[in-house]
Amino acid sequence: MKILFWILASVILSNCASLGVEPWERDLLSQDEMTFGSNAVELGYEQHTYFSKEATSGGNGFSGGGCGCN
Amino acid sequence: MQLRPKKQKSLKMTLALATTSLLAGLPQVRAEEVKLPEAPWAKWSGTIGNLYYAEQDRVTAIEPVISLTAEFSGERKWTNKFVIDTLTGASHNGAAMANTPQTFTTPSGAGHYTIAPGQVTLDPSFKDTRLALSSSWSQPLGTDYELTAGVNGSREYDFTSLSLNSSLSRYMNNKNTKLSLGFSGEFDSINPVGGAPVGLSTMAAKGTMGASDSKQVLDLLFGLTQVMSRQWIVQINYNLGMSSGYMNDPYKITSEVVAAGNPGAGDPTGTYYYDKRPDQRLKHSIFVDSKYHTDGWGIIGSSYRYFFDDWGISSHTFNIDYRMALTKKWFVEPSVRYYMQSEADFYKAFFSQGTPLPDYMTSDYRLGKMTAITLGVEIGRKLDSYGKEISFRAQMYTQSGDSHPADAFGSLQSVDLYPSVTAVIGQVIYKF
Repeated sequence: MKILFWILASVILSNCASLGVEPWERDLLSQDEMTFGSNAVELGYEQHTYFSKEATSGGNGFSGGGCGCN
Repeated sequence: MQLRPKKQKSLKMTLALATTSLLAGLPQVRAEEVKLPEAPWAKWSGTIGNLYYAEQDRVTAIEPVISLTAEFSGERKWTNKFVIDTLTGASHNGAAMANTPQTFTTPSGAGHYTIAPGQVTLDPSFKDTRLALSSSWSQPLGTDYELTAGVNGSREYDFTSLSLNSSLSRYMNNKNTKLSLGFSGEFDSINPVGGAPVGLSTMAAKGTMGASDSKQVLDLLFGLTQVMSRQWIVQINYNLGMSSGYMNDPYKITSEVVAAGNPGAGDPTGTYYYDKRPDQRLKHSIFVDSKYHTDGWGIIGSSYRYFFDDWGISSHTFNIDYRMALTKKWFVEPSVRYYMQSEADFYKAFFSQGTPLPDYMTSDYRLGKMTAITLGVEIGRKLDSYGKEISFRAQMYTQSGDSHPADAFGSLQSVDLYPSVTAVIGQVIYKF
């Protein structure tokens, strides 16, 4: 399992080096809406709502909710 | 006569001097502008939001937020967020629905409430106000690294939380790849109304472990963000969460029912056991997120999360949204979220009289097997080209589980053992 993880990790990282764009090709990526987590207040609302209603938390951020709601 | 040429020369000189000084004046003004003292921060921005959340017959929440960010020179940022969360209404106490009236003691022990036959067992005394503050600082370290450090604190009348977090990111491959490593430590103090009940003690003979208890959560987060093309960016995270301490829900109880084969099988015996969960929990999440720009009018966002823990819960979360520009200023964003989870090993919708008490037991519907769907639409307008924007979002959230589990018997077969939850959510966000 560990070997599989490292093989997968090295394949992903080596492939990453051949991906991507040049600095002058970032016209679309530089838009706010193309940045993960750019709408932090909305993300906070979603995480707080689902943390209080479901057994799952974390992944897109830390799993502690800082809330007695669950 | 001698004066004329002199006069002419003087006029020429005056004009020449005036022209020179005018022309010379322009660069001087520009130079002065450049030399202006640097502002304490280069840019100020903020967000004000409000959330309205209302469940049918249950909880209503109102949650205003204000977030302010000061951007200093050198891409250094300081963000502060203040949240007030007000909850009123009724909360499910965990007891199974019954065909007979059921009377419960309020958590404080000072009062009682009775639930009519066939009704959801809701504790009407639910009320809370939560204040939360967070502050975080982020800055580059050299050309390839970024450091973020933050602190969060929150207070409600029965819960206090303090957490510290930090993360380090490394940019690689011409900033097309970002690797992140983060940690968070959270310290919680729980002061339940009426004291923290001893797990599996009965409502009639409630034992308490004292006025308060505590819990700690340590989180590790590994992230990889990769630019795939001019239009596509992807993120993969792995999150490990380790919790220890008091994790019972002090307000939840499990019904004892008359065992199968007896008269009145499935009816409540009148004994209710307080929630008891393990004092350790290890959570794993793998999260994949993608944003694709159509290079025309839209951005497609999609994400998937796989979660599992050592309480026997696993879940799948799918999310998709499509932000479409209607005009240069207006946009609309429909979204769908689908969530499904398995139940905790110690989840029981009811407890059969005469069987041995398990080590742990909960009937908290949030630890039961369920699915949830959120449908939403957001509409917004850009107010300028520097990020000022207003948006409105409406969502509907429905949660449903196994209302008639296979192990139900007697009168339990004719009641809803997992009443569904429906909530409407309204949100307004103003960015400036």
